[in-house]
This record gives sequence, structure tokens and C-alpha cells, in this order.
Amino acid sequence: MSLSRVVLLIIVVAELILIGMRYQENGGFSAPVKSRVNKLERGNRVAVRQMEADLDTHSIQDWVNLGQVYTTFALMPEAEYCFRRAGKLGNLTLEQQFKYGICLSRRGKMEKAIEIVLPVANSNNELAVHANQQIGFDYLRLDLRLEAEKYLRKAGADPISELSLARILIRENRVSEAISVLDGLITRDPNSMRAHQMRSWAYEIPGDTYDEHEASISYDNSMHTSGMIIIYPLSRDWDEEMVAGMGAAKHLAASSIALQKGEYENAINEGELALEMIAPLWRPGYATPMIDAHLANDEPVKALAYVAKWLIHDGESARLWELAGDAFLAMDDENKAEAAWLRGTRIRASKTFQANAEIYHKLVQLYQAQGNPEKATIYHAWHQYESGKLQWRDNNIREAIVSFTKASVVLAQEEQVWFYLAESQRALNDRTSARAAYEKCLLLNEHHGRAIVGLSLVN
Amino acid sequence: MGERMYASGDMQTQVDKLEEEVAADSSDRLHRPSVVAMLLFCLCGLLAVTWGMMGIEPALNSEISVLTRHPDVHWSKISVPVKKHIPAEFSELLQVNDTPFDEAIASHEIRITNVQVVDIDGDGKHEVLVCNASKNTVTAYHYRGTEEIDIQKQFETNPDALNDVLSNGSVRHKWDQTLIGDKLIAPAHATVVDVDQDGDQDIVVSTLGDLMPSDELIGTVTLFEKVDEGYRRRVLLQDVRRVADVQFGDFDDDGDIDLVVAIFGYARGGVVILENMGDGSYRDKEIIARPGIVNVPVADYDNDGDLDIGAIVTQDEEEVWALENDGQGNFSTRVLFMTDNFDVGGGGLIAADIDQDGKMDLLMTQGDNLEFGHGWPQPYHGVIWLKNLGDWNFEGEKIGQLGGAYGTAATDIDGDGDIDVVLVSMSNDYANSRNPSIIWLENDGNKFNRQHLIDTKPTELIAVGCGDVNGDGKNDIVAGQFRIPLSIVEDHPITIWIKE
Repeated sequence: MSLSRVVLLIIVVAELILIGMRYQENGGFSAPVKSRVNKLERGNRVAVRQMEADLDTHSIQDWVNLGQVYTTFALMPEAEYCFRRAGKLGNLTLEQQFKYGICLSRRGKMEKAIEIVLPVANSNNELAVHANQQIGFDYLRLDLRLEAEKYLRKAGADPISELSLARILIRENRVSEAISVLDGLITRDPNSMRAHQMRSWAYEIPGDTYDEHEASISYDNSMHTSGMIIIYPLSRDWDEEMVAGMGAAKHLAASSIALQKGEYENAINEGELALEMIAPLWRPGYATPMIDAHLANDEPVKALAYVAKWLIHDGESARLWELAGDAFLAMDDENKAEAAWLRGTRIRASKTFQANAEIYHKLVQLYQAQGNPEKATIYHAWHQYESGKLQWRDNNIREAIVSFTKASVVLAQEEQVWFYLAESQRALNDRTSARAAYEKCLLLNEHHGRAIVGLSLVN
Repeated sequence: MGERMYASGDMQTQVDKLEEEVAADSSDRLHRPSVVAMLLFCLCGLLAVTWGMMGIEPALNSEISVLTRHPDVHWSKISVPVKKHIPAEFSELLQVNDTPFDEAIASHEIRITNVQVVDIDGDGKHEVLVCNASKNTVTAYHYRGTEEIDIQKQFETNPDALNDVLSNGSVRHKWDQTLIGDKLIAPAHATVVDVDQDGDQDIVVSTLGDLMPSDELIGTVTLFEKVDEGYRRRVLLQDVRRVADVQFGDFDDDGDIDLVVAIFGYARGGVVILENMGDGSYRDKEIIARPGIVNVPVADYDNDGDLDIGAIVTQDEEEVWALENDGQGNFSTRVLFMTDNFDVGGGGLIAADIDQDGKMDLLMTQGDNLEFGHGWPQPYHGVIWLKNLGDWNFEGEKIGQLGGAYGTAATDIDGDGDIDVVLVSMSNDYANSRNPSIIWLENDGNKFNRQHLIDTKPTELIAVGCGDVNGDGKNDIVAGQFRIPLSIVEDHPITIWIKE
């Protein structure tokens, strides 16, 4: 054999070996996908790249896990690729199929998603309820209402499915069936605001079930209850668990745990790590634990630095000013604490909805400590008012009436105090008291539209 | 021996011939390899290619169309500089131990919620009116033309800024700004209207109270009444859920300007009329109680001489309502459009007579997919044209496809006399840099069969407006960015595409 042929043969053999090695590495002829994680924050980016590096290309579960991560971060072509690779390796379990279906659903491939999830829905697996719900929602996204109804019913007594089912029934003009579903929801949870709300809409529909009085009662109930039902399938819980276990979120969680245990330095260190990992992004949710930790660690100046950054980055909020006031008080600067808290009273609290009531409480304590009973009395009344609103919000009407009544003694010139007192009294059918309170409100503001409506309902 | 040494002529000839054959054979062997060798060589090549291809990541198929620009429509892109704004009372309050408040410790997050091209001061020139929900301000930007930067002078006076000049060019666009109002918690919309009918333009601002989902009573409507020394501020409505929009009209036909309020809320919302009582006070009246009201465009939809109200209902309900005015400010409701697809993510509703038939149509965007932290563009994202057929019949037609579509505007882009549509996207698949963030839909005989790319950057655009910014008689496009703080993209709060 000539030398050249020998050389070529050696090259062929070497290439075959290299191909074999690459096949082993890839788990097949196709290379693993290189995901577009460039858009993610650093911590998550690093975590995903690590998962990719550790991927066992012969493991179905590894491909499924990676597909699930990509699904969470909406890298959908990557996610679908992973699930297809998993499928080529062997049969998926029901849970793995469900996750594949979620991937396809989020990618907008609803018909294919339904096909994949159907076996899970028809099984006795614990995921069957969620699978039926998922299919129901996908049929709604395809505007196939009656198919959606079938699967939402199969999802059973789940508030999310039942609320969606009620909506379908209302739109199908099967209003009495819808009301029956909603009544069941309300029986199980009287604080279910959305059920009351949809019940009022149901009774507004012209036809045999039309009932203005029932609609009005349900509408009123929806105004002082707070139970939310939002379309929040199991997959979103999985997203949260996924994210909580990686990157910055892991350190944020560690910071919170350390703070609860009183390990303030540790809480601060973990919080700083978390902020580093989301850089160059910045979120107030990562700043507030740092403020809490520095305050707990008797470092109010450092806490204020985070408050300042939060203010510039995201704007003011009641909670921000409450914390600023706490920091100033820790620095024995009562004037600035008062100024910060007073500023906070002018902002309506949102996510931390107790903040308004809390701020007033802190002002009361400050004025009492300063020996200023007049101011303490006024702000105690405001605290009562805000507490009443929190109670009203959560359907604790009797407690709300007590709070509003106490507030009205001092804040007799505030129209909203009388308005909420009136609404609370009307909610308990105390028409006489409600009428008197509405009239006082309207004396202060004759154009208070909601009070005008309320008064007409008790007259 | 001598006889052998001296071969015969024939023998020599044979030897010569043999030598020639051997030489030729060798030569052939040099220039014509054997079949086996050739096969081995080809196999080497094939295996090398195979090995190489096994190392290439597979292409990730995406269903998102790649768009191209229209060959005859051109823009030049400019950015509006957005300065930092911290109210003096805040910086004074947060000063610590005589150390000045350090504004440089942070930047504002980019949260532009609304942009409009509108003349607010009646000088015949348009301003860019911007709601900024991290600065919590409403600001009007006045375009003052261009200036040429003297590079030599720049080098001498401010060499640090020279890089900026070299990268962005030596032509600078000049802007002045007027702060209309600050300390507005998450302003969503600013409506320019002469509310008190004194001949100047006032501004009514809707504030959400919180950009994040919240059902709390944190919304407000604030009037900035134009006075000689600026604006006088007054709250017209509070203790309601998040307010997303305010529009105006004389609904009760009593000669003054009433207001209509879109309460987005979260799970509870509605439409409220603020009836002008004639003495500067307003009476509130709830017309419908539905969640997620984003916009309330006012128009005479039934051409009966009074002003009706459109309303987009979102938050899983996904409907478009009309509130039909009886001429006296009493409204009855009609549902013009609904879908069972709770996921469409209604983003906004504007009124525009797209087919210019004298009947006001509606354009509705679909593409808010922020339920998941990271959203993926859906096949139903884009814009729906609700064509007004008269007599309260509206026919819905999807005329544009854009993942994560949010803001829309209607204007004649190509100068052919018909109304085209501009669309921006907040949450397209921006991991792929070729995906568009702003497009326009070409109206061709009231058919929209072609979409054209305007740009792929900046990304995460939520608001768009059209109008003549630079006073050259051509409509420009302004877009506002709203950063989703989960992904890393470039910051460009306000971008203008100047029509060439």
C-alpha cells in the first residue's frame, strides 16, 4: 500500500473517532442549541450557561429541565428544541409531557400543545386537573368556547377554572348556570371579590335572570371584598420556583432568611450579592430588604442611601417614605422623620397597602413622645380612618364601622370619612345611619357622585 | 560478451520503449492517483464536513417574519435628551449630615408611558408631550432646530465629550423643555384641552398611582390649568383605582367641557364621567364597572350629532364597548367586540377614520403579555381595525401582526392620501436583533397587506405618536420606551423618526 493511502486511511480513522466523540458529546448528530441568554440578567445568564454545560445529552430529564428553564425565560425556540430532543431519546413521563405542552402553549402553538397534554388530562395523574385547565385555557385562546367549557368543567372545583367557566356561560346566555357556579364560589369564599363582581354582571344581562337589585348587591359586595382570582396556572408557580432557585433570587432569599434570624451582616452581604447579580438592572424589590437589614443593623445612613437610589430610580411611594422616616428616627432626626412620614401620607399606598395606616401610627407615636397631644389626636384619627379602609377592603365591615366612627369624631370636615362610614353602614343595611353619613358627606361636597348614588340607594 | 554489451538495435528499441513506458507510467501515477486513493480522499473530506456540521448549533426556527423597509419612505432617527429631575424638597429632605444629596448615585428607570405631538402653547409649532413614570413628571419638549458642533472648540473646551461628538456626528438637535408637573405618581396620559374655555390649553393628567398591578384606590385625575405664570394644579378626582386615560367633550350639551375617565384598576375598573358643573367643580358618575379600561376615545360614532365614548375592557375580559350618548349626557352601553381569548392583552384603543368614509372607526392593539415575567410574541398580537359600518355595526379585522404590540397611531406615512397605521412593540422577541420594534402598515385601497419595517431599535416601546415635530410639514413619529426590568437592552427613552 502506498504511503499516501496509508496517510489517508489514518486520517479517515481519526475523523471517525472524532465524529464518534462528538456524537457522544451531542447525544446524537445534532449539536445542542446555543441559547440567546444575552438578554438575561447576569445571575440568570450564568446559571443557564452552567445548566447547558452540565447537560447530559443522553438524559431525557436533563433535556426536559433545560427546556423548562428556557420556557420560563421565554426562549421558546430553544425550549421546544430541548423537548424535541428529549422525545427522541425515549418516551416522556406524564409530567414531562405536561411541561412540553406548556412550552408549546406559551409559544403560541395551542393545537399542538393540546395534543401533547391530552393524555395527561385523561390520566389519573395528580396533574390531570391542571392539564384539563391548561387545555381549557388553550381552547379559549383559540376562541373555541364550547371546547374550553368541556375541559374547564373537567378541571373541577378550582376557582380559576370556575370563574372562566362562568364567563363562558354568561357569554353563551346560560346565565342561570353561571350564577349557580358563582354562588358556589362565594359560598366557599365570601371574600371572593371577582365572584361577586361577575355575579353582578350576570344579573345585568337582559333576559329571564335580569335582576337589578341582585346586580346592585353583588356590585356593592365586590367593592368591599378583596379575594382575587387571576389566571395563574401551575406553570407560573413552577416559573417562580425556577427563578427563586437561581441567580440573584437565591441570594435575595438568603438575605431575607438571615434577616429573620437576626443575622444582619449576613443579610446585608447576601443582599449586596443579589444586587450585583442583577446589575446593570436594578429593582426596588432588591433594595427594600437592604434598607430593612441596615436599619436592623443600626446603620440608618446606609439605609437612606438605598432609599435615595430607590427614589431616583423608580419614584416615590408611601412605603419609601415610611422607611425614610424610620431611618431618620434612628438617627434621632425627628424633624426629618416627621417630614418624611408627612410626605408619605400624601401618597396612596399600593403594594404595601398598610403603609398609610402605619405611617399615621408612627406620627402618632412621634407626637405623643414630643408631648403634642393635639397633633397626636388628629393623626390618631387619620390612623383610624386608614385602618377602617383596610378593614373595609377585606370585608370586615363591622370593624370598619367602628374605625370610621371614631375617625369621624375628629375628622368631621373630611368628606371621605363620612362617605366610607356611610358605605359601611349601608353594607350592613343600617339605612338610617347611612343616610345621615351620606348627607354629611354631601354637605362638605355636594358634587360627590358616589355619595349621591349611595344616598339614592338608602332613600 | 561484446556481443551482449552491444545489444542489437531491436533490443535497444525495446529497452527504450520499456523505459518510456515506465517513465510514462510513473508520470501517470504522479498526475492521476489511483481510484482507491481518490475514494479515500473524498471520504476524508466528507467526514471532515460531517464533523464540522455536527459542531454547528441548529438554527432556531422562529415564526416571526423578518420585515424590510419601504424603498421610498425614509426617516432619520434622533433621540430626545431626558434630563434627571428630582424635586428640590426631596433632595433637601434626603440630605444627610450636611452632605449634599448625591443625584449621581442612580439614574431614572426608563418608563415613558405616553408621548404625543401636540401644540400646547398655541404658537403653531408642535411640542412632544411626555409622561414619565419614573421621574413622575409631565414634560413638554420644544424642538429648536439644529446646530453644528465646532469640533476644534469641543476638543479645546470639553475633550471628554469629544467621543460623543465623533460617534453621533457634529449636528446637534436643540431642545427646550417645560415641566408641566412633577410629583405625579406614575402618570399614564396627559390630555391637552381648554377645559375652562379661556382660550389657552390646559392639561389634564391621569395617574395610575403605581405602574405595577394594583387594585388599590390610588388613581387620580389632576388638572394643570394654564395661567400667566405657568400652570395651576388641582386634583379633580381621587380615591379611585388606577386611572389610565382622560378624554373630554361636552357630553350633556350645556356648553362646557366635561371629562371622561378610564379607570384601569386591576380587577376592578370602570368609566367615570366628570360632569362640569360650570363653577370649576366636577361631579363624578360611574357609567360602567369593568376592569382594565385603558382608553376612552371620544367621537360621534353614530353620527347623530352628540359625542359618544369608546372603551377597551381588558384584564381577561377583552372587549370593546361603546357608550352611546342620548344627547343629554346619559349613556347606554353596547359591546362592539369581544373575544374569548383572555390572553390577547389589549393594549390600547384609538379612534381614527381609517377608510375616510365619514364614520369613525377604532383601532385596538393586542400584545400586552406581561403576565409572565418574560413574554413571547403570540400569533394574535397586532392590531385590530374595528370598521364602523354605521348604525352601531362594527366589523373587526386584524390588519397587522407584531409580537408584543402596544401603542398605535394612524397617519399618512407614504403621502398617498390614505391613512396608514404605525405600531410599536414592548415585548417582541428581542433576543433576536432582527425583530422589529416599530413598523407601519400600508393602506392600499383600505386593505392592509403589507407591513414595513421602521426600525429594530430601540426596543421595548410602549407609546407612539405622530405629528410634525420639526415644522417641515411632514409627519414624524415619536416613540416612548418602557423598560421591563428583567432583560438587558439599551436605554432610549424618547426616539423620533424624522420623515425625510
